[in-house]
Amino acid sequence: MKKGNAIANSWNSPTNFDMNNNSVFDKIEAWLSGELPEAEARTFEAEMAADTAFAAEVERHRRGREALDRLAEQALQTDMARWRTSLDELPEPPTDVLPTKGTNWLRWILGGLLGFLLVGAAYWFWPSEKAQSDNTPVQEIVPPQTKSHTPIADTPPNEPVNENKDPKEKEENNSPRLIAMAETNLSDLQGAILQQYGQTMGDDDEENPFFTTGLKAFKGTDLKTAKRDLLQVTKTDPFFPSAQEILAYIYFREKNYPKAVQCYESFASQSADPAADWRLLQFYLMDYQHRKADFSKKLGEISDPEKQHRYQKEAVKLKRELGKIGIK
Amino acid sequence: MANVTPSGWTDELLIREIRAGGRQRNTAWEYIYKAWRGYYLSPVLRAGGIPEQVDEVLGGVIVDVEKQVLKEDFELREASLRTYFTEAIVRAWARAREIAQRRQTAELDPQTYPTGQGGNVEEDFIRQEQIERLDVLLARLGEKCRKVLMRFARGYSMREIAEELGFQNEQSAKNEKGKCHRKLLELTDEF
Repeated sequence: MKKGNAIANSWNSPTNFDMNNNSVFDKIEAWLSGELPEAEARTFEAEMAADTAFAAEVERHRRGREALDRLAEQALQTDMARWRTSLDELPEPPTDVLPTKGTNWLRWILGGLLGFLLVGAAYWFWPSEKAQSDNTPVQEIVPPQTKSHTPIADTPPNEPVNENKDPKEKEENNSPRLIAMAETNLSDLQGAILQQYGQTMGDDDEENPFFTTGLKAFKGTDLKTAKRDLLQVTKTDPFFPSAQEILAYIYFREKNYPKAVQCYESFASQSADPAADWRLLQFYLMDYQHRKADFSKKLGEISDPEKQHRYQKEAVKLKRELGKIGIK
Repeated sequence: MANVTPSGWTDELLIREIRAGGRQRNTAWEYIYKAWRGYYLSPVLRAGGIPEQVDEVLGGVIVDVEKQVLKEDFELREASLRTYFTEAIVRAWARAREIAQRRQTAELDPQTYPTGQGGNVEEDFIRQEQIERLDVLLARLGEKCRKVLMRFARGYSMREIAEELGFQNEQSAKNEKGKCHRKLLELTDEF
């Protein structure tokens, strides 16, 4: 039998394995993919067994497959590099399994209701805040900064708040004295973290593995490893706020104050503990240069006698101490 | 298999999307890459590895897992897809580490290599060298063909390739793919 006749005929190919013939080319690819129907596959295999040239051509395609696999890997490397820059943004599942339109309407209604309540609350509380400001002249009325919940990993430090500062105040903004004051008030932070997360927490495989290894490293004072692992805890993870709290301490120890503040702010936004409020104030203080407005607002809130904050006395004392060094 | 995630993805859904190929497949892998990162990196970190080493082997693992998933008789039995995937990564990372260590040893003292006891590691060592040679050949494909074939290799349909790379229609994309595929075969003839 002339080489390739059988298969060529079965595919109506005019030539013997003309590899420029798309049909033959596609058939080989289909066979390699296991996509040929059973009967065609048997014919194909019989021809391959009978014709060494054809078998060699199939082998050539098989090697081509390996090259395609390598290209697929390279494509994935490119994709993964992109995915790494947005680890917190999980893709949605396909629309055919997403909630129905009716549910979306419900979401819209609930969202609208929530928005309405927020607007109402803002309207209700606005006059009292203004009155508080009148009673406490040290305070400046400033719009609160938007709290960021983005992962801290590689975000640049906050840009300085655009404020009109007199030269004297600028000097004080960078004073190591403020950092020292914050450090003193945060001296219990490491102990508090260890106590909060317990002696056994971090040994349990059911937790987020990164949080587990990060916390273990933190307990072992291996702050470098702790930081590396805790930075991998994504925003969608329930352990994210806890990871941010520990990261805040690590950045604080590294004297990276802007990042320390960002992390602690992220943690404190999820905490109802008054101690978190007080500590957030200290973090603002250590980065006073950038967070003056946040510091003033938080100090006003905590020191307000009407709010009966657990740390009200400490806040008043802090305000007094700052007054002595000319910080208003 | 009923491993429902808070975001609505399930193992069944991920497998379905991986099998669909193209953009659907990529979205499924993006989810896996991001949402399970803590789980698949953890055993490697505990064994002294670093995330970058995992990322290096991950492309190959995904391609291999995909091949398994595409088989009609693929089933997870009792393991979840996450466990299956994580185990594949740990194996790949351990192999890569062993190869690297053996290479280092061989460089320091060529007499110590090969020992003949490497088993699969031996094959992997050779494969690693082949990959390096292959990369050199693939670099000669040209940018346009690389883009077309990368998508084809990821299971993109001709319509998707046409849309992403700006071909007039599916047929144009198919013609270009055929041309590039032949070029690829010619290059691999040199391999």
